[in-house]
Amino acid sequence: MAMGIAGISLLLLVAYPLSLLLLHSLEVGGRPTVSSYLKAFAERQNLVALGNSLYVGVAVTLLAVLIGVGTAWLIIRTDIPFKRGFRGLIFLTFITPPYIGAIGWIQLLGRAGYLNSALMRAFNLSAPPIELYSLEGIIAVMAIYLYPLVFWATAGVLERTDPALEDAAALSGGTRWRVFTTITLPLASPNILSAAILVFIHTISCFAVAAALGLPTRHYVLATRIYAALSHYDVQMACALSVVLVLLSGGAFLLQRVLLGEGRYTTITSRSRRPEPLNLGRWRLPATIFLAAFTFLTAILPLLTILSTSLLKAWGLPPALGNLSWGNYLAILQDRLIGSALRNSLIFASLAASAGALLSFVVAYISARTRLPGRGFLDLMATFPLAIPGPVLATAMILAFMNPPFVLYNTPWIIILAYIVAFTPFALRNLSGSLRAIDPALEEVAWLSGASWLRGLKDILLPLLRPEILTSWILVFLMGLREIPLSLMLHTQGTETVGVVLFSFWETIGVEALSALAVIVMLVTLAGHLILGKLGGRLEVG
Amino acid sequence: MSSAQIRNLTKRFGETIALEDFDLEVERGEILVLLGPSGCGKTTLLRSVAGLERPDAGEIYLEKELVFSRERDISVPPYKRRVGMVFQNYALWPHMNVFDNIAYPLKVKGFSKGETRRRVGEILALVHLEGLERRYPHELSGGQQQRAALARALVMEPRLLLLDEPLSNLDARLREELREELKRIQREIGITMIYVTHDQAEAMAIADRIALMERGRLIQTGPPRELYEHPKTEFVARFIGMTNLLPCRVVEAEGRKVILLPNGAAAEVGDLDGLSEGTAVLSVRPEDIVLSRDGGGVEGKIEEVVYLGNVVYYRLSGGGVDLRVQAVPGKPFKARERVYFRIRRATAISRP
Repeated sequence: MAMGIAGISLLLLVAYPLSLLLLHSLEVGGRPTVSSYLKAFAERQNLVALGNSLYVGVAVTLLAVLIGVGTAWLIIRTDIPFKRGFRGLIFLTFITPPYIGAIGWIQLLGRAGYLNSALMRAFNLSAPPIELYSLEGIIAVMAIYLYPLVFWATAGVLERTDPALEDAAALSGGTRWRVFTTITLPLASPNILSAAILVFIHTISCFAVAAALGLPTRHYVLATRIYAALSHYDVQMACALSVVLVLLSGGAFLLQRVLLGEGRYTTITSRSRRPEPLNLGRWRLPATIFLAAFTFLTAILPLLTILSTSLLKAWGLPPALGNLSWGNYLAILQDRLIGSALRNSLIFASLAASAGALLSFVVAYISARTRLPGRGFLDLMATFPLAIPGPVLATAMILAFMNPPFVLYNTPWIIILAYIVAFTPFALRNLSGSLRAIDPALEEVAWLSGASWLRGLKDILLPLLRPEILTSWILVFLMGLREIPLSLMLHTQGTETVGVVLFSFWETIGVEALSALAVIVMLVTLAGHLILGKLGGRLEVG
Repeated sequence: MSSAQIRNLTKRFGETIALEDFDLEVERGEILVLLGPSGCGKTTLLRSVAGLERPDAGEIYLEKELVFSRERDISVPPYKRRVGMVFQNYALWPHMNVFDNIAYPLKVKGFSKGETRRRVGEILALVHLEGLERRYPHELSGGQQQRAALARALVMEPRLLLLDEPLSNLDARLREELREELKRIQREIGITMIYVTHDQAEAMAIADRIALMERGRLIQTGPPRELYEHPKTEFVARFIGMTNLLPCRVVEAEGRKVILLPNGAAAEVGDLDGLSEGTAVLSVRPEDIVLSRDGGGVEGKIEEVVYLGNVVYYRLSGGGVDLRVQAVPGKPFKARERVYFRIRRATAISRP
C-alpha cells in the first residue's frame, strides 16, 4: 500500500518529468531527432556556457578542497588558538545561503560597493579595482560558501584517525610533514574526494549566484542559459541544455555513489587519545592572524554589510548612529508583495517539509525493512534529485505539469511539488541512517504483544524516530524558505516567494528593504540550525 | 496434547535453503530446545512460528488453530497468534520504562488501569524485578533486561513462549543462574517453550526434549539423554558431547559380539547398541573407555595428558586409531606409557 503510493508519487514527480525532458529533447514535431542538440550547440553562447560551467565547477572544487583541507588541518591538527571560535565561523559560512552571501558581496564589491569605493578613494583610481561581475567573481563566492563541505569531511576524518597509524609512521623515521602527506591525507582522501564531488555538483547546479554575478556582464553558465532559454519560451533548447547539464551532475552523482558503495569509507577506529597537536612555533601568530582574517572576511563581513544596509535610511550613507532606523523592516512588513511572498514561502516550505518528511519516511522504511522488489529503484528515484540542478528540474516540471493530464502550471502546487522533489533527498539521507540503526526486533516485539503494524508504528517506531523526523522537517523547511530557481521559473503573479523577491525585485523595493528581508531569512535560518543542533540532527545543507 | 504442530515447512532465502520439509510437534507444557550450528534454520523456524517469517510451503498449527498454511493461503498475523517471544538482545523499548514495557501488551488489549497494574505486579514478582518499575532499560543490568523482556512476553499469557538465544549475551555465571530461573518459571506457570540455542550444554541443561537441526532439516529429536546415548548419526554424536568415531567390523564369536578395530585387533564391547554383524561406525564416548596397566583389552599408548583437576583427558593411540579418553584422576598415566583399554559401551552409527 504505502509502497504503492510512494512509488506512484515518485514516478509521477521524478521519473515522469525527467523522461518527458529527455523525450522532448530528442524529438521535433513528433519525429525522433537530435537536431535540438545540434541547434543548441550551434549557438556559440551555449558552447561557451558549457565551457564556463566546467571551468567554474573545476575551479570552485579545487579552491574548496584547498581551503577546506587547509583550514581543517590548521584547526584540528595544530596548536592554533580559538579553535571553537573558528569552527563557529566556518559553520556560519556553511549555513549562509550562498545567494544572501552574494548580496553582501555585491554591496561590498559591486561597482559602487563599499570596498571598491574605499579602494578607489584610497588609491585614487578611476575605475573599481575588483570586478565581481565575472566568472572569477562567481568562482570566489561559490568557493567561499562551499569549502565548509570539504572542511567538515576532512575534519571528521582527522579527528577520528587512530594516532597509532601516524605514530608508527613517525617511528619509521618520517617527518611530521611527510607523515601528514603520506599517511594522514591518503586516509582522508576518500572522504575529501566525496566532498569534492559534492562541491562540483552544487557548483554546476547553482543558479542564483551565477545569475546575480554573471548576467549583468553576460557571462553565462549552463544553468543560466537554461533560464534564459525558458525566458524566451525556447522550451526545445531548454530541454537540450538541461539534459546536458543533468548528464554532468548526474554522472558526478553516480560516481560518488559508486565510490561510497565500494566500502572505501572504512570507519577509522575512534580512540580517546587525541594526537598531539603540531607546534606551529613562530608561525603560530601569522597563521592565527591569517585564519582570523579569512574567516572574518568570509563569514562575518558580508552579513555585517547586509545588516548595516538593512538599518540604513538610505544606501550610501555612512553607518553612523543618526543614519540608522528600523524603517526598512517596518516598510517590508507593510509591503503587500513582500508580505504575500513571506506568506507563500512559509506555506510552500511547510507543505513541502511535511510531504518530504512523510515520503522520505516511507521510502526509508521500505528500503530498510522490507524485501520488496523495486525498493532499490525507489531509493534511487528519491535520492537522484540531489543531482538535478534547479533550472533543469523547473524545466522538467513545466513539461510535466503544463499540459493535460496534469495541469498545475500557474498554481502554487507546481512550486510545492518541485520543492518536494528537490529537498526530499536531504530528508531521506537524514532519516534512513537512523532508521537502519533501530533494531527491527523492537517492532516485531510490539506485533507479538498484540499491536497491529500501524499501532506498532505509532507506539514504537515513530516515537523512536521523532528527533530525525523533526530535523528532516526543519531541513526541508529551511531549504524551501530560501529557494530561488524553482520559484523563479515556476511562479506566477500571486505565487511569488521570498526567493523571487530577493532575486528579481532589487529595483522595485530598493536595496535597503531587500537587505532587511535577507536579514530576516538569515535569522530564521540561524534559529532553525540552532534547533537542529539541539536535536542533534545532522547539519547538511545543499 | 500438542501445543504446536509444524508440517512440511519449507523456507528459502534466494538460493539458500533455511528450512526443508520440516516436521515437528511440541507437547503442551514442555521445554523444547531447537539446537544446531549457526545458520541451520532454527531461528527461521522460530520466526515462522511467530509469524515474522513467511515460509514457502507447509502448515503451522498452534493448539488446534491453523495459523499458517501456504496451500490454503492462511497466514494469521503475529499480533493475533498469542505467542510471546524473547529476543537475543532483549528488544526492550528504550523510550519506555520497565512498567510501560511490560504493560504494553495489556494496554494494546485495552485492559483497565487497575487490572494492568495488578497483572504487571504479579509478573514482576514472578521474575523477581519488584521495585524496578520506573527504571529505563539502559539503567538495567543485562540479567535484569532479560527478566524484563521475559515478563513482557509472559504478561499476556501466551499459548507458547519462543526464546531466541536468550542467554547468549550474558556472562557464564549469569547464564547459569538465569537458566535455572527460566526452568523455575516454566514449572510455576506450566507454559510451553520453544528455546533456540547453538550451545549444546545449555540445551542439555534446560531441555525436556531437544530437536537437533542441520541445514534446515530435523536430524533427531528426543530427551537429552536419548540423544547423548543413542545418537542416530555421526553429526548428532559429534554435536552432542565429545565422542570417538571408530570405523570397524562387528562379528559374532562364540555367541558374543566382538568388534574388529582397523588394525585387526579384536575388542569386546560391554554394551553394543544397535547393529548386528557387519561394517559399522561406532560412537564411543570418552568416558566409556576404561584404561588399565594390567593387560585386559587392546594395547595402546598414551600420547598426551590433559589434567583438569576433576577429570583427566588422554589422547591414546591403539587399535589403529586415535582415541580420546576421559578418566578420574586416581593414579594418572603418563605420556608415552603403555596401557590396555576396554570399551564399556558403544553406539553403532550408519554414516549419513
